[in-house]
Amino acid sequence: MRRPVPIQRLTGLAGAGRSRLLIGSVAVRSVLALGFVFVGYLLLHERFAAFDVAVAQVVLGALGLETETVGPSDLVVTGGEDFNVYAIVTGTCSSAAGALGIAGVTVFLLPGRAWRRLVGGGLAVALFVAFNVVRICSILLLGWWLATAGTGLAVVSLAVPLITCAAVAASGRVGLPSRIAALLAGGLLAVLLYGVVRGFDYSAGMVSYHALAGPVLTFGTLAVSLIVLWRAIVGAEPQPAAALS
Amino acid sequence: MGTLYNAVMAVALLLLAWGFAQFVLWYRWGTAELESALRRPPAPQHRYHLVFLIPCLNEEAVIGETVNAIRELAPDATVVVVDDASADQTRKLATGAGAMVVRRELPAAQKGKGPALNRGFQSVTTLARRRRLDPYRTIVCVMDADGRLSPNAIPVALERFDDPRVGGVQLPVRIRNKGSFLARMQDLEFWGMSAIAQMARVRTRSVSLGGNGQFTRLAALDSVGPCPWSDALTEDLDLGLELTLRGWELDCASAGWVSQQGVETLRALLRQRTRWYQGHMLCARKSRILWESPVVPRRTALETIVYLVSPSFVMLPWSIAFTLGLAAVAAHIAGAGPIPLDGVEANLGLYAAFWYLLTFLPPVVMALLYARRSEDEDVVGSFAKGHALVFYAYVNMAAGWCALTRIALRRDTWAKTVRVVEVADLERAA
Repeated sequence: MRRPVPIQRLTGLAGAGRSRLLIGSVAVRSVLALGFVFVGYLLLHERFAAFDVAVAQVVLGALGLETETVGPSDLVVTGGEDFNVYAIVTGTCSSAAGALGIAGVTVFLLPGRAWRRLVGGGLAVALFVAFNVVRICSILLLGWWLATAGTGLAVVSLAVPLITCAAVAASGRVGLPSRIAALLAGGLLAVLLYGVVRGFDYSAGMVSYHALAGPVLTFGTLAVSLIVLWRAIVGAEPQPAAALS
Repeated sequence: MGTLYNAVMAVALLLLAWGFAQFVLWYRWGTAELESALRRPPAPQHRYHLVFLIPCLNEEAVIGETVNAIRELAPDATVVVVDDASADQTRKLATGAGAMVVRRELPAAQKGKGPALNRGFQSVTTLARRRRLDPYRTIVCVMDADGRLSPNAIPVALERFDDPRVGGVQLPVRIRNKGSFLARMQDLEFWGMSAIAQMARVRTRSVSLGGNGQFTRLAALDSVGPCPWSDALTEDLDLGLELTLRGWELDCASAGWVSQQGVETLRALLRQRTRWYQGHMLCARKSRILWESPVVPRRTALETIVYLVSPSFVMLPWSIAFTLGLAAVAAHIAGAGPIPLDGVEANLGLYAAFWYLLTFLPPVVMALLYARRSEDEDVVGSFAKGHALVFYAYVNMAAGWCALTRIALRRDTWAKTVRVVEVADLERAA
């Protein structure tokens, strides 16, 4: 049998009646973390947007599209005769919110050794920024595809994954989170397909994708980044025996 | 103004992602634990001596039936009722049902649930010494006066103590009086969501102890001291933290449950939740020592801290962001400005359908899963309640703000939750 750890009861912290501060350090740290995100966004969102544009320009260039910056966060993207887009990466589109959120949580809220938090926070921020650039590029690549592929090919390229998503959503063999994800992805594909079939311009498809998938992908990626951060702070630790059984 | 709004939404994005990450982990781990628990048939447990501890203050409406129900399930167990100077027939009914009653008298009595439990604990330790019970094989189960255990609750809880590191085991909680809409929503909240979260926390050994269906090893309680329960508003949560700080692990008996009465008016619900949040926020002050403790595994500490900071870090700020978002949509519908989405003119119906799915699908799915685990809930009803859950969250948000206000005003006195006589109990007594 195990032996209890001989420590004194933490009486100074136990009672509600003995509360001296508002709600102690957790509330203060929460306010600091969220205040950091709020103020940081107001001050830095344009810089983040400019950074994202610079990275996106490199990626799009590597994929064969012609790019030209016309402002700190404005980009003209050209792909052949049919595709010419003036793209503006706004503060909300940039990685400002996510990167500042991870930084705020890392610095002000979460416990742990400084180097672990720095490594975890750095990894999470890098992951989020990378994915955000991919998301921005994917909007432009979708527009390029809708503009250049032709209606028939565009319909097929949207209908096939739509049917797949519908099948996954209706299947009883896959997990519930996968079915929900498939349903949401299928909904997005249905919106895009509707636009193509109705003969809308490629820019309508880009707008739909941006408005619908953008926020979901952004908070989903931020959630993944936070899990990466949590794991980095915990470090490699063997699972308790009871959990493994 | 637009940038200011976007900055608020940046904060909202972080909160949404934080909650989503927690939800994904809880869902994955919780459902896996539930399936695993249901596959294991409970074995009869004869190795443990079980002591039930029931603090009571004016519980004549329920105490007799509660003791009877316990004695049916565990005839060999000792039932200790702590009568906290009740003015009604609590003592007589408990004694008549076969319980050992410990009476507290005013002015020492009626100082809260924690002190009442500590008085009962003194009797339990005396009893254990007299009977020479092994404190590692003596399990103390704290029950509310209106608590009812599922038929398998005792074996599935006791078998968790076969792991010598386990100091406490909590049963998932259900609401019994589901006649009213409000009580049914509480059952959805407890049984449909909180129970899954508790099961998930088995993975990190950071299950929260509740005040009902709380099994604790006597040796673990002894390690906390002669008065294991504090005078904190959530003395159950506080005890769990104290056990964790002493290196004990906390587990959940996922295959069983304990039921209790739900509150039936909005006012009472708000008051109950305000007390819980106030206690929860005050317990969050132990986050730092939890992390710095050399005996608490990192993942246990981190998960507990994430849980402890949730009201102040997630729920309260989210209530502002969520309300602002709703106001923006309402303003658009009223024609006051542009909707905060791009390109809506293209196909409003599809956009609306997509955002409807995103907002309501997760709670509806949770409600449908709840219906599968509840014998008296149908698909149509759970579908509707899944929608209502989005707005029911406002009760907790309001309670969170009330709790914060009370902390700021240093108000910490509370009246206990009122019980009602249940029809089933009356029929059974007749």
